[in-house]
Amino acid sequence: MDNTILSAENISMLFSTRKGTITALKNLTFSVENGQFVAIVGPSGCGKSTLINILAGMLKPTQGRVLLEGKAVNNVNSKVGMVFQKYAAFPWMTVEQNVSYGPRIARLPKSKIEEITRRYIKMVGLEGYEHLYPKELSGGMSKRVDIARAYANSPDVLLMDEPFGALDDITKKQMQLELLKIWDQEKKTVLFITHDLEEALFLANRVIVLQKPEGDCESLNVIQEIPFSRPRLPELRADTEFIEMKTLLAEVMVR
Amino acid sequence: MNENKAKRLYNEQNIKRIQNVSGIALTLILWYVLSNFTSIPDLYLPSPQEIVQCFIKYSKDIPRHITSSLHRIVVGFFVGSAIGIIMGLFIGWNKNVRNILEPLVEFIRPMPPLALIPLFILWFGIGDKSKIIVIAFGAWVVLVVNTIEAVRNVDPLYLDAARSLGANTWDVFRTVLIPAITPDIIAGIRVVAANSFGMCVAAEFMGTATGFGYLIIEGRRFIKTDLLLVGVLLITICSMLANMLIRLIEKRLTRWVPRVEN
Repeated sequence: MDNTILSAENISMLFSTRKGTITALKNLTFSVENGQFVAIVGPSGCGKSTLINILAGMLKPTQGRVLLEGKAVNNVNSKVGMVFQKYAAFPWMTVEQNVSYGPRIARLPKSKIEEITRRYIKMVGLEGYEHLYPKELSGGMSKRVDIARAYANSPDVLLMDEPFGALDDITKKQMQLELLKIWDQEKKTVLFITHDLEEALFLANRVIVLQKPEGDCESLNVIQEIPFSRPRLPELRADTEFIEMKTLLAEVMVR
Repeated sequence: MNENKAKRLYNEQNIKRIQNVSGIALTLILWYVLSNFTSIPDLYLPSPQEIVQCFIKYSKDIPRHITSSLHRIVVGFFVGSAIGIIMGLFIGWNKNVRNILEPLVEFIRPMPPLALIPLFILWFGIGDKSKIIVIAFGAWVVLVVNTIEAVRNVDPLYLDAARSLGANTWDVFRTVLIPAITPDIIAGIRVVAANSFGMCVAAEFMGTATGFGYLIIEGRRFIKTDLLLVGVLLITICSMLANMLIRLIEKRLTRWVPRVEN
């Protein structure tokens, strides 16, 4: 038995519009091993959002299927946690109520809910902010709530859809480091979608590069293992090997 | 430094308060002067003192008129709002219900409730029932449209987020939809509350022995302009109080809504 937790099997997605059929994804196959950090990168229009919607079960592919622990994913479910690009903390709930949402919906015992909530609020460093509403938080803090909420629901896989896309550069880099720390602690599979190649290389064990499926091209461009040791520190971005790999992949991406 | 800032802020607030009061005060003074020291007859413009005297003269009857109008308004308002919100939720939430009912709502929506008063009197008689139904109808129209719109405006992001955290349809309804639309609903309720007073009076003009409308009609019939104005003032005060009450509830329920501080 291999260690695969999530696999996409020959996925294609066609949309019919007034101008004819558009191919968003074509014959995409890949698998993700349990506990890995996998990044999916690609230029805009390569079907990243379509892919994440399919992986999350929000969209049914025209062809192929997604297997989570060997079972087909057909609708949105709590086994696949989501961190969205937009700030998705419920504005009518406090930080605490947001983080405890999953456990509360699952009707876990009260003591268990409290324990989980405290743990994940602590994990993202939001202690002392439990009773604030999202409107009172900065962008980075809001993102932390989203991450804590997703983790607190203990999904099998976490899908992160350009989660730091809306943040300023400094906050973004800070959040990347924190995410790596959390990932290291929690040992949970993360699928991280981004258009930022450097971000992908810095975070992931493996980068899946997508391309726009045009003509004979299929969706998958290349899968690259990222060998850099952990913990990864900001200095890595200046490392020669890192830069070489980034340049190489950037060339592959525009090809 | 900080102390100065606090002081300045305090002064600014005081100035604002004085400005707020001055508009009303000037109008009152103008009214007082015009009614007491010019030849404008009382018939057109009774003086403030006369209004107060009239108020005292009718003070025994006034509570009866207030309660009878408020009874109509409160019942009509609650029944109409409740039906409007519930229907709006169904229409906004369920595609099939929407397809069937929305064209109907769109057709009824532009009907002025006041134009329907004669019809309601025909159907339900001249008593309280027809008045309550006019008010309920007015509340229903506003809130059904308002609620449909509010449900439609809920960001799908929150629905997806809730579902990905394991929420079923009922959970989403309860924990996402209802709180998300609450601010819009309360805004609608405030409009409806103000409308209800107007509709109540209009309905009372068609025939009643009690209520704000009765005071106003009596004032006109016997050319007692002061009584007419007492009626108008009473509605105004009640409507203001209702608005304040709703604002208080609003503040409680929508603390989370991002607002621009002034």
